[in-house]
Amino acid sequence: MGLKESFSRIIKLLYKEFSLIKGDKRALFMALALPPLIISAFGFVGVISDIEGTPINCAVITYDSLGYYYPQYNTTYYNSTWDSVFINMFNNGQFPRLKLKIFYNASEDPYSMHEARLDLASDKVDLIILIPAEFSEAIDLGFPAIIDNIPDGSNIETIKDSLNLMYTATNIFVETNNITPQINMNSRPVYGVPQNANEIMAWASTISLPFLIIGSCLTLTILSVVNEKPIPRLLITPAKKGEVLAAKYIANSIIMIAQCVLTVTFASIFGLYISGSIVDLFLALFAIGFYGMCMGLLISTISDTETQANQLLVAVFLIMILLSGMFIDISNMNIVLQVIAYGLPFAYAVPLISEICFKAKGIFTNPTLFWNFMGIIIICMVMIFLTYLIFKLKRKEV
Amino acid sequence: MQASEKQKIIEVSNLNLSFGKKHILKDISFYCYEGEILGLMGISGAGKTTIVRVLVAQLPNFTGKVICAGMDVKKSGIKILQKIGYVPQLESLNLYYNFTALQNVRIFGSMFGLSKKEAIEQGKRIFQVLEIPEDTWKSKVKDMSGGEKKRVSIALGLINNPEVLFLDEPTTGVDASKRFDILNYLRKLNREIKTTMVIVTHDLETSNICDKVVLLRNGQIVDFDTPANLIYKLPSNGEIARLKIDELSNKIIETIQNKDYVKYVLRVGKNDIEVYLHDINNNIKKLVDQLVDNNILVSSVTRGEASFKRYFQIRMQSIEQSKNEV
Amino acid sequence: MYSLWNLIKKEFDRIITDRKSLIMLFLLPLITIIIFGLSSGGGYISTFDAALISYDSQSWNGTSYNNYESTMINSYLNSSLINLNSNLVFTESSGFNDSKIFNSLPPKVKLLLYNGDVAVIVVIPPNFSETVNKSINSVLYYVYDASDLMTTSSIGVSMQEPLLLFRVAISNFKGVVLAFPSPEYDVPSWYNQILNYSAAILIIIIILGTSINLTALSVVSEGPLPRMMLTPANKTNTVLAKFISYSAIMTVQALVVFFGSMAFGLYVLGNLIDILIVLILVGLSGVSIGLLISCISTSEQQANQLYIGVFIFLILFSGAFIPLESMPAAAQMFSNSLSITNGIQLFLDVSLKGMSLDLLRVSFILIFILVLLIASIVIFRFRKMEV
Repeated sequence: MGLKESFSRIIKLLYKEFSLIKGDKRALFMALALPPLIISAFGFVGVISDIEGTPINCAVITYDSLGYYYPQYNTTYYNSTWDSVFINMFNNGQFPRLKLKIFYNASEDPYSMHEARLDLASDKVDLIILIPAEFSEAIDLGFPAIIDNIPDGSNIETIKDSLNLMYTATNIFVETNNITPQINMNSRPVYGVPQNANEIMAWASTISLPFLIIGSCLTLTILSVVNEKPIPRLLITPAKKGEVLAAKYIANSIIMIAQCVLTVTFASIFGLYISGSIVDLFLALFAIGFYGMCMGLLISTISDTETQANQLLVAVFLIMILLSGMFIDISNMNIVLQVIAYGLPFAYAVPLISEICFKAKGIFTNPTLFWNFMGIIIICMVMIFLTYLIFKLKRKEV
Repeated sequence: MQASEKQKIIEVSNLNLSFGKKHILKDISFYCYEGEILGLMGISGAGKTTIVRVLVAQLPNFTGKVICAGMDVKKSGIKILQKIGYVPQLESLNLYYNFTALQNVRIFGSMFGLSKKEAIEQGKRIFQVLEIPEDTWKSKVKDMSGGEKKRVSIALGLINNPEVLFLDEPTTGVDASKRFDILNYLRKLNREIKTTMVIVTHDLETSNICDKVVLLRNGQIVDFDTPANLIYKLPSNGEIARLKIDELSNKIIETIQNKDYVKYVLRVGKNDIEVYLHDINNNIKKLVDQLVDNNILVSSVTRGEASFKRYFQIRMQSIEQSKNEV
Repeated sequence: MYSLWNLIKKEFDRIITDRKSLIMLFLLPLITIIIFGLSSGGGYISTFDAALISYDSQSWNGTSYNNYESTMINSYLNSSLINLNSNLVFTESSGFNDSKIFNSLPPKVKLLLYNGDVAVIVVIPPNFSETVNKSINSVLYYVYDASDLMTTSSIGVSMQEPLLLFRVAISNFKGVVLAFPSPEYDVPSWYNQILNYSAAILIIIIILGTSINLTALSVVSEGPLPRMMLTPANKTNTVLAKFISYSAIMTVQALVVFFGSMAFGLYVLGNLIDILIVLILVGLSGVSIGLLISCISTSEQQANQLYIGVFIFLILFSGAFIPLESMPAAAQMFSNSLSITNGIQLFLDVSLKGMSLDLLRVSFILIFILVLLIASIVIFRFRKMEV
């Protein structure tokens, strides 16, 4: 019998919540406009930029023309064809992204290596490619020909890039010149981003969609309790604490749902790649947004002042990002950190989004995904319970 | 006159101020002698705070002559801040809540170039006058009671021994008994430290401690005089008749109002009215007789003095009326 | 001067009484360093879990050849970069389809990739032994999970190792041209690589983030400030006092970060003092950004939102996420004027390249700080403050 009254009170409290949210135009803007804007920025970068095409500047040094001495024949065998073939191909731009910027011939300039290293230190080049002596001989005589690949190691991306690009370059070199026999690896990627989809957007979306939704839900709700001065007054009306909270959850959920829809819509405009079901994607995003909201309301309930709530927000958000697996793979973390990481949403959210978008898995058809989804829901339930408990225990005086 | 021996410490003549096309202050003129308490009164939006902001050199674009603390505000600019004190309405805008009372004193004192020792000495002296309990001096301001906070706030205004102390609504938001206390403290301070005070307020009871009041309305001065003189301007020099009439109705009030010797009638209670009449000595008897003739039961008649509050009410009412008639 | 000194003392009193913020200020960087310090991995060569399926018939047109299939499988089993579990080696006699390799795989093998049990499936085609015997070009296939960015970016290189092991096993190096990596200025393998490769970006962002956060509220949240302006306290001095006192706190913070990261194994090839100078310079720029935010904002809430906005903006333009070279020229110039970009570069130069401080970049940061500080003072002077 009390249920009906309780329900009607919640409806009235909902009205209050919406008026409050509407009253704070800036917060509403942050919540609704910022995620679509940022995701569009990603999309736009993906459309215009050509990160794949960013050249890597190289200095090439050859020692190859120095000749090879055969003691048994007491002659010196000169053969420098292969290094010049390699350098010519380099110069003609036949190796993707590698750009020949400076060329040194070590047989003429004994300080070549020293100069090249100075170029590397001063950022003139990102990579030194050193063709050793006997390079041509090694190829001719069937020994492994080794090219030294000296990238600027202060940026791990440069190392990775140079490894990949040089691997491609040597393959092209071998293939073009028909140096046989070759044993090649032929790659066949699956579950990747198709050519017509926006690649940067696709990669960005697995981490940035949850990140944006959680972030904006947090900022939306972080002050919701601590900021509402008349709550104590409200509690000496028949409204119950649980009802006040329930109204907050419902009102913010509706905003959150609108936010998810907007964000995905904008992302789709810029070519978001979704191979799975869009319903599953939305379900996953709702759960993730709900997590952000629960966390925000929990912080808001714990905090005594606005400032405190804001600081907690910064701290929680930072830890969430650090332990998200974006910087450090969760499996590489210390065991204690792993436990914390699994209490945070990204450990579940990132696989959820990427499996739905890339592998077309369904939340209700794939058990792993289902438990990732349930993981978020269970943590949310725990947080709601905690929030209720703290809200109930906290003395609110008029 | 005794007053003429004193220096005019504040003198404002023909002060005009506009923000864009909006004429905020119109031909304001008033003055105040050293050691006096001046009340700036009027309903909200009358221009009280604006006048103070001109006096403390925060609004330089005025015209007219403004002397404050013996300095020409136009010429001295913010140098004047050295010589004045200010007590804002809200303590949260005045006090560092996380600091102790003495820490606050030290910080504000240092802004006026006082050494730590000087500031604390001066602070303690004022705290004693204001009777702030000594055991709270070293506790954080946020742990003090509302009244104590207010007094610490007033003490901060006096830390530089200012020639003029400005108080913005010192009694607003304070309950009735505390309000009385604060006014008493202000009067005590005025007597003991002899600081000139300018009190901006819409609380008319403050007039009790004011030597002069400036009544403002829509950026214009309505009255400028001592409160006693203003009350004296009322009919019969402010003497009034209080009547208790059984079954008082608006009709009865109207009847009384319509007598030609009656100037104003104010209803002050369920059965009580205050009647302002010309020549009270003769007319009061006449009024009672006429009422009795009309079968109106007057249960008591007393004579008394009008309060400043009543003066204000009547004055504002009559301005409104004359405006309506035009 | 006297007034400035007193204002500084006041700021310190304020900062010290705000314990919670102070704790946050020192806790956040430490948490970050601990997280990175306690994690391992992050080198430039990655290992991958693999399955292998062979269709090798070892015969062709009735001719049987030497069995190179098992040699190849052994090469994979011996590889240190490709983890092939011997349970996941499958042999099939038919069903190989060159154009639809993944789809033609047996379902149980496909499922391994789908469920994420392995990152790559190596496929040996039917004619493999034949081509090796005839010394003609051989091709192997590998199907990898491209939904993982890390796999996509480094699997190609890791796949080279088993091929080389195979060449060693058959003693035939004809046609092998290898690019052998020997990175310069890299983090030595015995150091914590994940901490050190991210240190420059991480530490700079942390110092900026906390110092901006600390100062962003310094003006807006000081209730009695307008009242203070009704004393002879000077507005310029008020801003300067805040700058100086927050800078002092920030310096202590930079020291904490510095020693904290040393304790967790920060690798610095160059001069340690140079690193400290970079940290302090970046911190100072954070303080000036925070001050500007605080002078512009009219409420705490606004300052906080502005803080988050500015912070995201700085990170996007730092060159750490979108490479500078792929930005338009104007954006590159803008990015190069930011303290975050210069700070990261200086940190890298000193810590990994062992260079001394690039004075041009240092002066860029100093100019950046100065410009923001002057802007803050100007805005503060015009700021409307009513008691």
